[in-house]
Amino acid sequence: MTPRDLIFFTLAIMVAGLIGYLIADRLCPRNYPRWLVWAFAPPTGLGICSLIVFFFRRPLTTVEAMVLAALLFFWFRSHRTSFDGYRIVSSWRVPILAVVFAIGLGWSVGSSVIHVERYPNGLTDGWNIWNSHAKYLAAGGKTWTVDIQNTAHPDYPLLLPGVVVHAWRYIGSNSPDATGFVGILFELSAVGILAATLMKLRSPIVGMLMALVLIGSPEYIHNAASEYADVPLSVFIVSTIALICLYESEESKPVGLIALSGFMAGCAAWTKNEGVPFTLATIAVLLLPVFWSPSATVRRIGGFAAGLSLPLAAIVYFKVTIALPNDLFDNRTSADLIAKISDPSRYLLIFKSYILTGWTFGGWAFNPFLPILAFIGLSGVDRSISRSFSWRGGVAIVAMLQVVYFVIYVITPLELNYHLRSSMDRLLMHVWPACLLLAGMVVRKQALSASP
Amino acid sequence: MIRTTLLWLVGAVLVIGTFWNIHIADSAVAGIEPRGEEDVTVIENKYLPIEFELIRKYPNTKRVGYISALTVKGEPPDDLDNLRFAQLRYVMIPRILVRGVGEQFVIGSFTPGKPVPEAPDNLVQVYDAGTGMILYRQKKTP
Repeated sequence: MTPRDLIFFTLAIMVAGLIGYLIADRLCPRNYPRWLVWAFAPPTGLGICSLIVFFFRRPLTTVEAMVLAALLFFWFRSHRTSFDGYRIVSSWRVPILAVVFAIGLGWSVGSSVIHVERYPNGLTDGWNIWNSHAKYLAAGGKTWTVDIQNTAHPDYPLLLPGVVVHAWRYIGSNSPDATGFVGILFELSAVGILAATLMKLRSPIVGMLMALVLIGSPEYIHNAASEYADVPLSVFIVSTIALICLYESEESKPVGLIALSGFMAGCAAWTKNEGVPFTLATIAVLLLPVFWSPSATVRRIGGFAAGLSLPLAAIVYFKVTIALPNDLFDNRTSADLIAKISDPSRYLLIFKSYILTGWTFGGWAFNPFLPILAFIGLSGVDRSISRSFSWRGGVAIVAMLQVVYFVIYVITPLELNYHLRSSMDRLLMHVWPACLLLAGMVVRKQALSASP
Repeated sequence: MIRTTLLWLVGAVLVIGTFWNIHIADSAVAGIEPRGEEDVTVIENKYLPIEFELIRKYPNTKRVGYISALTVKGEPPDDLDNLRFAQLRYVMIPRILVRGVGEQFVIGSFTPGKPVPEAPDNLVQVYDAGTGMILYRQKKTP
């Protein structure tokens, strides 16, 4: 990437980040620290910019400028310029762990940048699916909806291609490196959301340690730089669950947080088809308490639905008018499905694969599972967490998603060993940041409450 | 006291382990081949002369056919052939690459340095990029 391209790429990301921040700022409670709001800015902004690309395409910069102007107008109307939130940051004593965290993050990002330089088009899924879709979206003219069908998996949703097109439009060319940098940006978003949410709900030490474990998951970092959409999907999954946790932790139950959560869930479904069962699982979990607390549930699901509506509109429009049937479900016969469902060896094989891949999916030389468990045990377990709706809901969402993945493997038309080998590690990546968040939430709050 | 010490110890193990993981990932990245040798970039560089030829002489060409040494012989494409087709299809976007010889223009993708197989009867060579890729077009019917 040339310095000129890098400048315009940075501008594209700054525009998306600012749009994201202004939206997150409107939806988060006023008393929230600014760094927490900023943590949710990148996925929000990139999600919005992707939707703008999809709905408007050519005049996207005009639409983005209008959206930005409107958001800035409302922001200046409702805010006096204040740096109080940042003063808290400047008053922090920087603990050694923060320095260690920054070094780890810098080292990892540096390594990812070199990866992008070597593989400018990403790895197979990167160029074969997401960049191909982005190129048709960027340059295919009015026939892009037809042209895109000459790519691999034309039924896959368009959040990531949309974000890439957003960056390309600012750069002025289809700079291949930009796609890898977008992947790194999503990885950093996951790190930021994980750290910031745990800092708010638990302690800075727990937040930084869990985020450090994520940075130290080589396959996760590798997938991000290779422009695999599994990392952006994981960002939207952890964002959704983090925002539900934040919503439930506030006595006032600010509806903006749950609306932002709905938007993130919608963006998950707009990123990959696997995001659709995630969104459905989240809706089911949020709806479940309707039997014992109907008014709170209606308020919660109403806010969630409001946030979900925009990405949902894009998904429905895309699936109904453009996308071809999915290769896993097209041309299936009931006899084939029944044969697969009634074959116990398939269940055993999938179960074994879950056990084996579950231990290795991060590509670790040093597996962090046991040290994390020891850390949680020694820090003290917050027993009240098992009674909290948000934590139980988060666990239920992750578990339901795994059940869906399991069922898909049972009925897959692909050769099962091949399908497991080629995808299970990435499917587990989808929930890895969310699992770290939920694990961090188990730590007792008082045990490690030192201010950063 | 013991608990606190153990807690710091476990925290330190987690941090050191994480840095070890980053080191392993960083070492793997250091071993990746240079940018110019990456598969898609290689295919792109092989194709570019044909793209310039298309822009120069036939700029409105949208759909282009594809043949390879295997498919010319009537054999089904293997995994490598499918990969090369997918890579070329990607670098040619927004043009559309389809398998077969039914389009007005057809690209033959062959191994450089090896003899180029004889093209199907309905095609005539238009341009040889010298990179193993050859551009053909349909013979004009009388």
